[in-house]
Amino acid sequence: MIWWLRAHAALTCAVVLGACMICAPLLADSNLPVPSLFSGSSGGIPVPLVLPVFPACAMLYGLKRTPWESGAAAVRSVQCWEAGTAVVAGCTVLVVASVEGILLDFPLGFAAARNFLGYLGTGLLVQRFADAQYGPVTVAAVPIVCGLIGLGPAGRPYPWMWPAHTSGSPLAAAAAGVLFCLGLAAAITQRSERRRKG
Amino acid sequence: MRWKTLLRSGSALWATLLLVPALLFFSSGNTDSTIPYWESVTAQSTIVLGVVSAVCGACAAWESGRLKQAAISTWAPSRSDLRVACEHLAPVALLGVLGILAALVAFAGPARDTPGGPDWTVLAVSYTVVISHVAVGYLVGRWLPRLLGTALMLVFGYFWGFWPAALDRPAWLRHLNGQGIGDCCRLDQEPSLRSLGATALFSIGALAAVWIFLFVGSRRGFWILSSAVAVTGLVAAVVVAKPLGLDGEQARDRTALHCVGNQPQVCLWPEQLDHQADFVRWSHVAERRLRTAGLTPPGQMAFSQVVPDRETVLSVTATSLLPLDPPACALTPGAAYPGDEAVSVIYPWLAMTAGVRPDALQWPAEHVRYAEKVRELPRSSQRTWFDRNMRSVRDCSIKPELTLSAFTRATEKPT
Repeated sequence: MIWWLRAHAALTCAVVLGACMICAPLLADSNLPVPSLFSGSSGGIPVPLVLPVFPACAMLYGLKRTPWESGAAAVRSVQCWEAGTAVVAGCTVLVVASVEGILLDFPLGFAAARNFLGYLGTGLLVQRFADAQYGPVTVAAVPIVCGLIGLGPAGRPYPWMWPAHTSGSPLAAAAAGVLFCLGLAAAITQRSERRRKG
Repeated sequence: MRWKTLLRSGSALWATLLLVPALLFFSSGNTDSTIPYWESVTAQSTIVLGVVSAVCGACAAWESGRLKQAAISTWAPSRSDLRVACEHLAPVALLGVLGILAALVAFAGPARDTPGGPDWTVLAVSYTVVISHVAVGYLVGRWLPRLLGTALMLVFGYFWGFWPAALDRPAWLRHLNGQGIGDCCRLDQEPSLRSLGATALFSIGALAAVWIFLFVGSRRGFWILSSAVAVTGLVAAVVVAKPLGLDGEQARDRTALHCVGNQPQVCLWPEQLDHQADFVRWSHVAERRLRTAGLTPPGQMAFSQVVPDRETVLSVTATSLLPLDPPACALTPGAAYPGDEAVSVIYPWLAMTAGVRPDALQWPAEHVRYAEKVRELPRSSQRTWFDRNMRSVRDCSIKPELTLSAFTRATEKPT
C-alpha cells in the first residue's frame, strides 16, 4: 500500500490539496480580474473558484504517473483503485469545505469543493479519451475559458458556466456532480492495454 | 530545421490561430477607456498582456517538454542546447509579437488620425514581460513531467498577469508584471518611466537567471549566481516601484502645450489642435456670460477632451471657478464638510450661467432643479448667493445657506 501511494505521488497530492483548502478561505474576497470576450474588463472570478485547479492537476498527474505496464498483470482492478482514490479525495474535500463553510464563515467553500470535483471529473474524462498528459492542461484551461467566454454583461456568469457560480447554484452543483460521475466511470472503464498507435 | 516542420510540429501555430482572433475580438469591443491619444491607446492595449504572456509561457513549456521527452541531448547533437532552444522558441516569441501587435491594432482605431505614433517604450517593456514568461516556461517545462509544466504556466501566467492589479497591498506588485500603466492616460499624462523601468528590471532579471541556470552551467556556483541575479532584479524592481504607490502615470511634458488667446487663454495639447477654433470660441462664450453675471472667469483653461462639444466646453470653463479638491480641513478623517452640499448645487448653476441647456446637464435632477430656481432670482441676488455659499466651500466651519428666501431681497444677510 505504501508503495502504491508513493508511486502515485499521494503525498504531493495531499499537500497540494491541503494548501488549496487552507488558502481558499484566506483569499475568499480576492477576485481574479480576467478579460472577458463578452463583458469587457469588468469580468472577474473569485480566486477560491480557480484554486482547485492545482490539486486537481496534481491528482491527475499522480494517478497516471506509473506506466501502464506496471498494472498490466495486476490481480486487483487498478482502475477501481484509481477511481476509489478520486472518490476519497472528493469526499475529503467536501467534508473539509463544509467544515470551513460553517466554522470560518466562508461562503465559497462548497463552491470550491464542487469545482474540485468538476475539474477532476473533466480531467479523468480527457485522460480516458486522449493521452494522459492532456488531463492537467485541459483542467488548467477550464477556468481560463470560463473567464473568457463564460462571463456575460456586468461580469455575471452565464448559466452554463458552472465553475464561476457561487455556492448556492443547483445547476453548477449538478454539472460538477455529473462530470465527476462521468470521470469516475471513465476511470473505471479504462482499458489497461496501450491504446495509442505507435 | 525547416521552418515548415518547426511550425507544423510546434504549438505556436495552433496557439496563434486561437489567440489572435480572440484578442482582436476582445480588444475591438473594449476601446471605451481609450481617448484619441497614442499614449492612452498603447497603455490600454496592455490589458491583454496577461493572456499573451500566459499563452506564450504555456507554449514554451510545451516545447520544452517535447524536447526533454525526445532526449535530444543523448543523440549527440551538433548544435548547442541554446541554439536548439532558441530555434524551437522562435515561433513562440513571434507569437508574443503578434499578440501584442494584434491588441495594439484593435485598440488603435480611435487614434488613427492623431499625430504621433504608438509608445514604443511601452511595447518594448510589454515584450520583455512576454519573453520572461517564455524563459520561465522553458525552465518549468523541463522540470515538471510531461505537460504538467504547460498546465502550471497557463494558470500561473493568468494569476500573475491579472491578480496584482486587483490587490491593494502591496501596491508595487502591479508595477512588476506590466499592469502598472493600466489606468493610463489622460491627455496631460504619460506612462510613468518608473513603472516601466520596474517591469523591465524584473523581467530581465528573471530572463537572465533562467539563461544562466540553463545554458551557462549547471554546477552549484551557477545556481547561486542565477538566484542572485533573479533576486537582484526583484529587489531593484521593488525599489524603483515602491514610491509610485498605485499610480503608473507621470505628468506629460508641458512644453507640448500650445496656448492661444487670452480671456481666457486656452492651452491645448497637440491632439486637440485640430479643433482649436471650437475650443477657443466656446470658452470665450462661457467667459463672456460669466463676466456678465458678475463672476471672475478663469484666466487660463485646459481641457481633457480631444473632440470638444459645446456643452462640455461651457460647463468645464464655468465650473473651473470651483476648486478641484475639497479644502484641507475636509480631508482629515472624520471631518465634517458642510460645503459639500453647496458644491453640488453650485456646479449646475455655474454651468447654466455659462449657457449650458438644463437638459444637457449631468448632475442629479434635484440639484439641477434647485439651480434653476436660483437662476430665476435677480442677478445681484444670484451673485450674493454664489459668494455666500463659496465661503462654505472654502471653509469647513461655515455652513452653506441654501434657502432661497434668504436671497430674495437684494441685501446680503448677515451669517
